[in-house]
Amino acid sequence: MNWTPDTMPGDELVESLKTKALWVRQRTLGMACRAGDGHIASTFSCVEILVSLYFGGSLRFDPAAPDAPGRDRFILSKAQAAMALYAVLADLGFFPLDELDTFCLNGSRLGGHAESSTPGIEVVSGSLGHGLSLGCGIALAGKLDGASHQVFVLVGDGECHEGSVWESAMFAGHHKLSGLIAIIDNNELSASDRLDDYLTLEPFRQKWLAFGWETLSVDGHSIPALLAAFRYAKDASRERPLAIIARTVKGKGIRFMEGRPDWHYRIPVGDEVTRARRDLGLEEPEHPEEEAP
Amino acid sequence: MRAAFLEALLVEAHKDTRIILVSPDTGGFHCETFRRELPGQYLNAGIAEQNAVGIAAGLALAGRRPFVFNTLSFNSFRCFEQVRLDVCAMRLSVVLVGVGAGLDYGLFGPSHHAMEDMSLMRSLPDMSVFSPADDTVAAALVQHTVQGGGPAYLRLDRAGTPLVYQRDARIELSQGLALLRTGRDLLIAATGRMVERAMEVADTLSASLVDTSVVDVFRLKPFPARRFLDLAESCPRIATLEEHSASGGLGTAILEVLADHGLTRSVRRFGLPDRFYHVCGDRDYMHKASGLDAAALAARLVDNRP
Repeated sequence: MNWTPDTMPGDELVESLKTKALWVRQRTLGMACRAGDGHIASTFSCVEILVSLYFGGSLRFDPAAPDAPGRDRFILSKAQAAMALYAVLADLGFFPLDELDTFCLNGSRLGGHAESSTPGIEVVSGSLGHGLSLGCGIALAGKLDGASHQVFVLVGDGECHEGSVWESAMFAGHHKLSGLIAIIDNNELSASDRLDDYLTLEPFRQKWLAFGWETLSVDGHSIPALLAAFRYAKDASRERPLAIIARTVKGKGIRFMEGRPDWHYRIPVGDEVTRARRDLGLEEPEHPEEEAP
Repeated sequence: MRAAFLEALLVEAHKDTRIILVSPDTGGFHCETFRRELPGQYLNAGIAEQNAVGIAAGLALAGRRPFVFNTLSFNSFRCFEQVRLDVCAMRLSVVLVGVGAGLDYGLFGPSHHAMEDMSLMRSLPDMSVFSPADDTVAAALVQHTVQGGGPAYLRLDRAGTPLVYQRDARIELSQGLALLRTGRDLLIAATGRMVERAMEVADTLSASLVDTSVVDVFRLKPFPARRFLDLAESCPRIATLEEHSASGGLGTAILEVLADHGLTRSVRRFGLPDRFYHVCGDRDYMHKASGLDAAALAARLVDNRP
């Protein structure tokens, strides 16, 4: 793609989205610490992706009519990052902001993996390798109907070990589902290890190309780069499905979590809470009890 | 049964353009008429069953009414998680149509012997499980599942004859079962291909003065509990007959209903044994090897043998 002055987002928008991204990290850290559960590092690697998608003007949606037929669909296939999506949707008014405080508490609809009983969430998720197939079906129906809505699916890179991802990649490539956009959160880590150390995906970009996709490779924490990529995704003249490979850092924003596999499951305790909050520009603990070891 | 079903589906799909036949590269020959007449409502999703069910769920989310048509084993075992999460957990109107119930593909080995599917599908919330006895019921299930909506699983045979019902018979599908024969001594509850077998057994038993009722349970879930209990109350002995593992299918469903309602009856379950078949054989051969031929069943019932 070509970067031209018209596709470069304005500074004001970029700054406001950076502020939003910081807020999402602050809010979701609090949610996870309160619940003692949640996947913080997976969440933090895709914060800029979600914020740019939902607040950058590319994704079409209406919080007052979450099921409107003409909406673009977003499917969080790496559903362990649900906290970030909850924060974004609540901020947009899909459901009350204070409901975020119920995350992973008994009786809440905001569980550890997103599901479709929550306004704004399209599908039940939580098992990896499903989202792209669902996206193929929705995109195929849209193509048959001549509809203009698009389907964005956020896939984890570790998730691409699932064979079903490549079944759908092959299908989308064959059917030239240009309305289907896969965003790959390429943080190079899975739950227990570095992908390259136990089952490499490389050559990753070439795989998508070989399956008939168009690819973009972007810095997944650069809001201007993501905004430009999503703007390109909306280009109606595209003819193939688009894979946006977003290079990210797992745990981005909290230094002791960044790039560390052991933080896939962990929740900060004691001094870690203070350090995490400090990294996010929060000086005093929100809840003093979180200081307890 | 496969042909009668596809013929009925084609008729319905002409009227209802939401219907789309999704095939993971199965039944090419049998689907040919459908594909030729309605190419826009036919999708060969490739030999990728997980993706095919996920795509069907996506199509249903977009308002289509997909029928996923495949060999039974691959339409239940291979893609079970997609059926569970993508279809049932979202209560989507996807109909899974599996061909090759029980030992229908007896010659093809353990991969194609479908012995555990009803047990799996019956365990899924919001799933409707149908097991038709002949062409007539199979064809009628097309309209019934379209009108009913929600997730459904159909367990078909390749052949749908001999007929248990007349071709133009009006069957009350919403009842979930049909009483085919009335007797005072024994009630045989059967499903699928075994319904016709139950009728044969009942004829044989009449020579031994065992007066036998036969009920066709064509919907295993939701189980037609009340209607079944009404029949069970008037009969001292019950036998269940299915071409499925004796555990988890019709026999289990009936024991559950009897236990849940506190009705005590003598129940004998006849189904497939708890083992894989490492020999091949045609369906009749395999039934005989499993003690499910009419003569063996009648003898086991008369003598009360296991």
